[in-house]
Amino acid sequence: MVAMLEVKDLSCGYGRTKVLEGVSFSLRRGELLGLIGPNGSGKTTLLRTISGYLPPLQGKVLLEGEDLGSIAPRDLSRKVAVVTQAPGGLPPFTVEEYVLLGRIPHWGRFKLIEDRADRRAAERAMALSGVLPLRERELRELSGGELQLVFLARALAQEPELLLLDEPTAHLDIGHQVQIMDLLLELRDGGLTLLLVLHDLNLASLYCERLALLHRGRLHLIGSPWEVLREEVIEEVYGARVAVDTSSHYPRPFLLPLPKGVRSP
Amino acid sequence: MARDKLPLWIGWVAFLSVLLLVVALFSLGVGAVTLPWRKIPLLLFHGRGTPEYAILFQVRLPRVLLGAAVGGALAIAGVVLQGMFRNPLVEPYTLGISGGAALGVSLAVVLGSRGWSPSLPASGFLGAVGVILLVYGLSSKGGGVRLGRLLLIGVMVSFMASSLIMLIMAVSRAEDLHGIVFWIMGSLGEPNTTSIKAVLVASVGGLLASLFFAMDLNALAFGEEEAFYLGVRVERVKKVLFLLASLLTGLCVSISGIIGFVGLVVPHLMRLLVGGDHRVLLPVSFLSGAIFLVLCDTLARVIMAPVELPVGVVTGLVGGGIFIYALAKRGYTF
Repeated sequence: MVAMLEVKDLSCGYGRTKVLEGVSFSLRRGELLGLIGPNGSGKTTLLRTISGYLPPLQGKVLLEGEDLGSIAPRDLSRKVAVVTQAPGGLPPFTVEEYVLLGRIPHWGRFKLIEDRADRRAAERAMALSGVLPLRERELRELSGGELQLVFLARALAQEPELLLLDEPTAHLDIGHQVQIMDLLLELRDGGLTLLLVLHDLNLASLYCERLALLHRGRLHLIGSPWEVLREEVIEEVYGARVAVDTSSHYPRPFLLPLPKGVRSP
Repeated sequence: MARDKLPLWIGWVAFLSVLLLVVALFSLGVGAVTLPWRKIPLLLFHGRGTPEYAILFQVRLPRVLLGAAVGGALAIAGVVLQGMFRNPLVEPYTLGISGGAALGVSLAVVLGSRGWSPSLPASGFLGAVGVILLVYGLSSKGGGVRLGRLLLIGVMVSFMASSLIMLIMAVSRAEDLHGIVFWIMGSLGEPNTTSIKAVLVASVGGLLASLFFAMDLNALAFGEEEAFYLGVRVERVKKVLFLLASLLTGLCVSISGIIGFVGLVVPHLMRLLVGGDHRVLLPVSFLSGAIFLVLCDTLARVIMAPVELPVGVVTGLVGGGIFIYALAKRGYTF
């Protein structure tokens, strides 16, 4: 079976500035991969390259075996949806108007008004992310957590096969964090392939079966949370002393930051 | 668009269309010779040969048509540019297009009084196109067009053009000076029917063309990256929209001079009225721009009759006044 996403010896960056090189990995359909790494390690850059927004400096990104560079933007946006950290601005749109924008990839140049199928897709997406009650609200009136769910609804309205998310839980309270991560698991179980950048390593450990760790311009490690989230790895990559622990309640590695003066176990 | 907005949109467009018609009839009626409203349709169809018919057809109708076309086109250009740049201060003249046109006309006026007389609209249009190519060329170095750069270069070119115009004015003769100043102030009294037809066609064509980019503009409102993820060919759309808006502006300026404020104020007022969705914002702004300019031109003709005020003076005063009032009344953010 062809991988949903295959990244082959990829170098990416901006113009002449190379941020990452030699990155290779692949994602099966229905898999959820967490992308982690310190600030500035190139997580967002990698996401932008995989989404086609940045052209690769070297190497290839294959979507179901097809080179990303040969796919027209509109076709690409029907297969891949992206939730960025924060869109460049919030114009005076209601939630429903914004979510309906997710339908444009399915329109031709001469279609100007959404039809019933578009409305239904938008409604489904809003229902999935639980923002249906907010549909008439202005984007500007929403809280950070509500906005993040609305961005997700717009991406789902695109009906993509691959969903890329850049720190979907940043700045959110624990309630919204769990709500969003649970929703992503549900989507994965429905067959969606997901790649998400995460900052919170414990959240990454809890929700991702596979983690990719970026460090010093390379893919440092890729594997299960147990393989990636080890004390010596975190010390080397983040320069932080942690203790790895686990819970009988849920067997995943948890990181416990060790304050100065507390001895390593 | 929320569920039931379509009827509302159609309502706005229908209302403004009727209003445009009423304003046009009003404008056709007033002037040195007053023609009663009710007689106008009759005159249009059966009045051939009468003096009223001549006034209507040769003097007032062309002027009303030109006003509507220029007003509509400037408003469309304003909506497109503000949407694309995501900047509320951008208007059709910000990018130096009017400066280029004015420079072309000033040169033509000075050269004209020295025996060689190029047509003023043609020189204005050449000047505008020259500036468009210059600004676009300078800002699109190395692949994509960077909009911030485009804006800065446009503003700089604009300043340089006005300096050059002042230089020309400083060294030109009194009667040339009058010609330049008069042209710069803007007027819809264009005698050439071919020019009027050209602006009409371009204006309506510009509206239709821009409508097909309404969804792209909606997506671009969330930033270029977001628009790309929605399948918008960002670079291509930016190029097309920039050329569309600047050619429309160039054409208008070269025929009717610099008529400020229509392209700045009308889009903002319409955003207040109908919201940010370009599918309704574009047609509604087109109609309101047309109404606004025809109305201002009528005022310019009658306020101090028989002296005709420059229409740019009226648009600036009326437009600015209405806009400040609207801003103060309602909490409007772009």
